Amino acid sequence: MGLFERSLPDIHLTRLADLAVNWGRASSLWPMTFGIACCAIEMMAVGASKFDMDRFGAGAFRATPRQADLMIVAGTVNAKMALVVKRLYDQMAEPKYVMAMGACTVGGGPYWKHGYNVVKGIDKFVPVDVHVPGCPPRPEAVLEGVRFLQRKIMAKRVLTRGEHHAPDFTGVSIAPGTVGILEPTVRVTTASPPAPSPATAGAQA
Amino acid sequence: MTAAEILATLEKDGQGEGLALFAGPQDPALVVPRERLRAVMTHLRDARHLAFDLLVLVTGTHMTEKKDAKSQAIVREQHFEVIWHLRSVRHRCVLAVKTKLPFSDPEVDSVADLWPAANWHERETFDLVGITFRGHPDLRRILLPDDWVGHPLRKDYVYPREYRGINLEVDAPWPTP
Repeated sequence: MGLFERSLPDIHLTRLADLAVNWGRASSLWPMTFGIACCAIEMMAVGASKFDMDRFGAGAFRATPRQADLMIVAGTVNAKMALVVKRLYDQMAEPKYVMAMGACTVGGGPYWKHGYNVVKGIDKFVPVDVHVPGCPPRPEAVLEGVRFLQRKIMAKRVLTRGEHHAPDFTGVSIAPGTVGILEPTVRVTTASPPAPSPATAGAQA
Repeated sequence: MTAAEILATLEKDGQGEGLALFAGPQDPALVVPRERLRAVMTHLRDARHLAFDLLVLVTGTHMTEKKDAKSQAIVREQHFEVIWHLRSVRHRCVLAVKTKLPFSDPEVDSVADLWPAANWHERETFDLVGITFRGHPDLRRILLPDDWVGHPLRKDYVYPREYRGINLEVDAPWPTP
């Protein structure tokens, strides 16, 4: 925020201003139309009507990095493409966020060992805010990543001094039993009794 | 027409000098010495009773071992092979043509003027295997960047550690279960 960049005293009023700025940023994440490989199909599905990323304010895909806040890198990044990704990231205006979508951008994916020209994770050359694993990730997982990023943005300090707040991830955990977007619809509820080990079986005999 | 019949046809036409038949497991191929490649390919395309008017693909392989004909033992010997897959639409048959190139001198005549489809196939073969096509109109890399070092599909290729400041290495080895 220019002149007052994290320089104001940490009082209630400035914290409220932080909250307002963060709310604006998190609620209008404009992603860049940037599909490199097959993950882009899922990214299109997220933007389309069935999953509708616009519910979270992140559905306005921009065709230029100048107008985008969020770069969703959807697909394998090889050495030739990495230069382009880096340039697009540099062209984006602050504040900017990066989502690594899919196994290839997280850590090389299936090209991890024999991909002579594949960058093993885009965090080698751009800072990544959210990693969304999967090959490709389900659209729900991308939405989950957007929600994670929004919580991360809400925890930032914009005007006030001090450390960032701890992001609040309550309610978005994907651990079984919690209510999250990634909750599987079909779950096995009846567990079979554990089979007796050979030692106990012998003791019983 | 099978590859053996095509070889017999070529011999009848007076083009059979130096040709041989590679008896693969399922895809017999015509083995052509590289000096005669242009003549044989031109004949395969232009003769009306052959009429191979479609070039399906060009590919190159780096062979590092071969089976010795006498002792049936596997011996180390490096060479390159270039394979052209041709299709005759008129006669409804396919043919694979192979050429063996020495490891020290991987150069062969281009067929890009006979079949325009060979243009980018040969560029790709040059890019990934490093075979030079003599007479190609524009022989440069097609998939990898122009300043890339080495030819990745060679067996002795050393993986690059970085490219223009971008780290291509793996952080940690994959955990073994």
